[in-house]
Amino acid sequence: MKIVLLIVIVTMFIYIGVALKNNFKNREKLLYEITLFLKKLEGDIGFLQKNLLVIVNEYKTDNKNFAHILKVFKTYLNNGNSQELKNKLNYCSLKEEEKNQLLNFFESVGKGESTSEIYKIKNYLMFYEECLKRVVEENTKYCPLAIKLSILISLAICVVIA
Amino acid sequence: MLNEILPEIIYSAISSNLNWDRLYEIRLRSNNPCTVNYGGLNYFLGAKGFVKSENDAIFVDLEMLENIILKASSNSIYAYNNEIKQGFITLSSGIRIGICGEIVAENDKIKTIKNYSSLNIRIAHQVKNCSLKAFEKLFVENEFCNTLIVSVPGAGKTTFLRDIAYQLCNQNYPYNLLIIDERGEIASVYEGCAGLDVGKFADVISYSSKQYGFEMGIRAMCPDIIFTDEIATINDASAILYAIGCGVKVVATTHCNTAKDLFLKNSFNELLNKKVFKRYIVLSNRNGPGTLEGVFDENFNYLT
Repeated sequence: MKIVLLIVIVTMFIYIGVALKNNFKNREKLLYEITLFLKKLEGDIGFLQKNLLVIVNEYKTDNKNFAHILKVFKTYLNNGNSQELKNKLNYCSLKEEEKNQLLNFFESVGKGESTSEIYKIKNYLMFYEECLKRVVEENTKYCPLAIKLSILISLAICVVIA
Repeated sequence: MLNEILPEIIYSAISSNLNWDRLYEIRLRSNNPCTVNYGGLNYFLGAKGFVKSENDAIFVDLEMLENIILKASSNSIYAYNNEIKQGFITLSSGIRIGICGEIVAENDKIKTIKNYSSLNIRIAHQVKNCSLKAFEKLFVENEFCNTLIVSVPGAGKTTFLRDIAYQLCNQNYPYNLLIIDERGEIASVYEGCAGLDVGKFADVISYSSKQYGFEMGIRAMCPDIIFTDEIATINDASAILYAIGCGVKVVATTHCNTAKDLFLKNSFNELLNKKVFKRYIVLSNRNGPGTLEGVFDENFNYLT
């Protein structure tokens, strides 16, 4: 019985460690997707001057989180109601400031002439590239640590119980 | 299309109480009541149709105007900024939104318009066969003549011009037509397809200046007749002279009360002195838009 309990504890802590690592990685992937999308916007608005909806429809991504954010953004472009966009961003793996900036961006993009739009996009791109750089550094440090720590804690608890 | 850009209250007031075919303009002025031009007359528009008192009319505010422009540009103002700078946005099916507001300029060049103060939504109507009465007078010995359509604003010049193009195609005249659609009102091309019927032998260059359109169009498409709207400047007149010098016929429109009033416009001096236009069609609003006042020859003799 005791052995079963110990196995459950070890499994549970490893699961928590992996979940933490995935959370860190998800944020990194999402930030990476945002920077890619901003770069596409910069090119398509600055050079081709395509409509926002066309650009969003053309953008293909494997990241399910970002694909869903874009889907909600398309709905916002059609109906002008940003509430659903706010709700969606509340549940994504970004930090509060990153969420707020993304919401501000989605609410303001497309409302000016191309020079000011490009200027705006470049500013947001700089912000998210900075965030991405920080996250990559943090993840290099903390991702392996999260799994190691979870294993160590689970083993320590096992020793105490045993 | 209008249901996508107009506020619900205005759209439902129109669609449930008015006939779209008789609606020519919707005028929206910030902090003022909404008015419409219906069958050539202006009315205040209330939630249940026409109202006598401005207090009962739908009140327009700045936010309403901004939302209309944003929706008309598909949330992409930058993509329509070249048109906005010229004071209008054209939608599919020939609807044109005229814009007034604060001009943003840098180094004497207009960058955009902000803080919109008024919008004039003009609804294009295709009236097929409206030009038939004048059409037969546009030929001399079976050859089509250079023609200028003259009227005050809103009297149906563009509709008449479009119908002449349509008649030439519909009656299988052996002409290739080129339409220089500077404001997108003649053919209203949207995503490559003409929203209004300009005929099967017509090619359309949209949103180009007349000078560029005439030069490029003649080189690229080798047209027999060029159609263009609203001749106003000396540059426009030069473009017409260039086309005629190339052996291409021209049908154009201009704002003027009568054909003889053209002499008051400096930009028309050369065109008039050289008797470039062999036919003048004068329209008015006397019995509603498109009333044919007469067709005149190059010496302003009345033909019909």
